[in-house]
Amino acid sequence: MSVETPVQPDTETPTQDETLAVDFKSSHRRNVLAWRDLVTPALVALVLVGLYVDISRRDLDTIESNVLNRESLTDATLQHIYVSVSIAVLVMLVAVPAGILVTRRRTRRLAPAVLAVANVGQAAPSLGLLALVGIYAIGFWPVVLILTAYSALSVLRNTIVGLEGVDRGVLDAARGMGMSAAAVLMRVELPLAVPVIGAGARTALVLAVGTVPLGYALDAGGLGLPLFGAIKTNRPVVTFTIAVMIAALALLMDWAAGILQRAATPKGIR
Amino acid sequence: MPENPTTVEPTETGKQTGPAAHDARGVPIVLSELTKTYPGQAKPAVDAVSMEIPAGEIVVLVGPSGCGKTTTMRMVNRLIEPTSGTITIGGDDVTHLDDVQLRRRIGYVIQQIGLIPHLSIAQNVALVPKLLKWDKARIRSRVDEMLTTVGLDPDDYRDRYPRQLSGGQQQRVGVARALAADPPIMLMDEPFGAVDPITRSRLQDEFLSLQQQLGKTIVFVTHDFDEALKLGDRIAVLREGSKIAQYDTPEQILAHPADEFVESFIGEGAALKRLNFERVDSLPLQDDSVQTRETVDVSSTLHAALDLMVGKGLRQVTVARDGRPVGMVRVDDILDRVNRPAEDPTA
Ligand SMILES: Nc1ncnc2c1ncn2[C@@H]1O[C@H](COP(=O)(O)OP(=O)(O)OP(=O)(O)O)[C@@H](O)[C@H]1O
Ligand SMILES: [Mg+2]
Repeated sequence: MSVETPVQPDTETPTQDETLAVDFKSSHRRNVLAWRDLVTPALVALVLVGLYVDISRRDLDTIESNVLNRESLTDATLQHIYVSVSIAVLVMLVAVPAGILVTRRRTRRLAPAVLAVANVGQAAPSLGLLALVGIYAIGFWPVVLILTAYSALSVLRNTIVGLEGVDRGVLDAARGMGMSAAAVLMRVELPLAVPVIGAGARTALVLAVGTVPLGYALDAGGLGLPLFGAIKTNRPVVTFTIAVMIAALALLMDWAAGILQRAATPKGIR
Repeated sequence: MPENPTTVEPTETGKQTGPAAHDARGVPIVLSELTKTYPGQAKPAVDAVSMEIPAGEIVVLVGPSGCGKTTTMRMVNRLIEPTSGTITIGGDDVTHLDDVQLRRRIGYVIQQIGLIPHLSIAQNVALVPKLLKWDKARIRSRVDEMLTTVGLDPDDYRDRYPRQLSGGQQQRVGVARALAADPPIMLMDEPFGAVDPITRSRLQDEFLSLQQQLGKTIVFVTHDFDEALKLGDRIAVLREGSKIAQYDTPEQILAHPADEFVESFIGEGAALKRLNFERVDSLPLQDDSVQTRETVDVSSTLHAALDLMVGKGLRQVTVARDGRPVGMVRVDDILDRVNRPAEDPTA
């Protein structure tokens, strides 16, 4: 059945005389990356290059060229990424533990209350909230906190669904083998819930990328300020460019997070 | 199922003593007045059950769906806490033991198998030894040993993931995992329920021969009475509330069902089933002057002998020991035995 090839740990070198056994090996050691992962960045790159070519052919006035230059766009984009990722990380730090809490037997009773809070966070009009808070405080943290509250629900809900979706038989066996409750959580439940929790995290990240511009008035940085500036000063070319960039950013961040999610998913269920 | 005459020793209530009973590795389990009432339910799921499970024996709990078999079993490893009553294992009250530590000393096999999907087969089998902090080399050799024991080639299966195995193979891994840390006790809840009849029968045979070597104390839950007959050293027929309708050896239950409930559980063909527990050499063999084409071994069951005769349309077959004819058994001898069961099967 098996082929006498030298053992090479952690590498895959398909040879011509592959037998079934070797096939099996390569199939359950599916790589994190696949060719289709190139589709999204390729499309985004195509759009951005097209946009770049188009803009570089235009005559821009001072206001326009103040915004549409490499330096300020790079700055704004990096800030945008920084704020969005901060929000996503904070969402994970809050919503995953909350999801764990409300799926434990002893604290299950808290579920309705926790879900209600998260619902309020999402249902509250973020723009209004940002404007309101903007009167008292500006900068990075107010924006991050408000938008965290806004996007926490998706991760919370997915954490609950992911943990409750773990097969009862698997949990029963794990407990029956003598794993402590903490070990069952860390080594069985969470790893198995990674795909679902990860999907929630991607939603939160995309939400963050799309809502960070709303915080422009609070001076948290990002692509919001040039976007709304262009709207106010009636510069449709700039508005269009920034809007496309935000969309491209959302796609790329979702793409990167998707790969991260796959990498974090244990091999056996990938 | 009388053993080879030299090893059979008569004991109280005709209790069967396989080689398992002499193995010190199993420990007895005693349930007394064990009761479980689930919260919000009026009637207890398990109602004051008392039962002794002797060391090294397979005790099968059999009964209708919902009668409390699983609940009873899961109280032994404290996955469920009893409402009242006690369980002792080898004399120790389990409620005085740390539940997590306790479970590491009790093998556990369930119908859903419950292999952990993101762990390889080797990691699944290594689970309890790892929890017990065995060193790596010992774990590795133990994993290979256990996979071999349950009939899976370690080189082929070690690195696979559960989803890459068939149901029957997964069930073998489930058994290997439960046995890995060599626990004196095994709890098995319908372990062969989810596989096809042929695979089930093979798993049962392998399980029996494994138990011959290991001599664990095994609590086995099923609602298949034929499985209970095949595997059990003793069978507890349970009715609702896990109340014991009868607790005895398979032969005794077949020969003397305690009441109608037990009878209904045995179902049709009790007489034929009984023939499964008697060997050809328990009959007085006729002389072998007439040779027949078909032969049965002395160790065959009367059931097998009768089946052969019915199938081939014969009134008698030759009985052979080690391939040499030693006598003959006739249909009439078997019919006599059915109608007038041996009073004491061990005599
Ligand atoms: N967690 C639970 N909460 C409430 N009631 C339960 C719970 N588990 C079981 N029961 C009830 O207790 C009774 C016994 O259940 P149990 O699972 O022990 O039956 P069983 O004999 O194993 O049945 P089956 O052969 O169908 O597996 C049933 O009436 C069931 O509805
Ligand atoms: Mg059950």
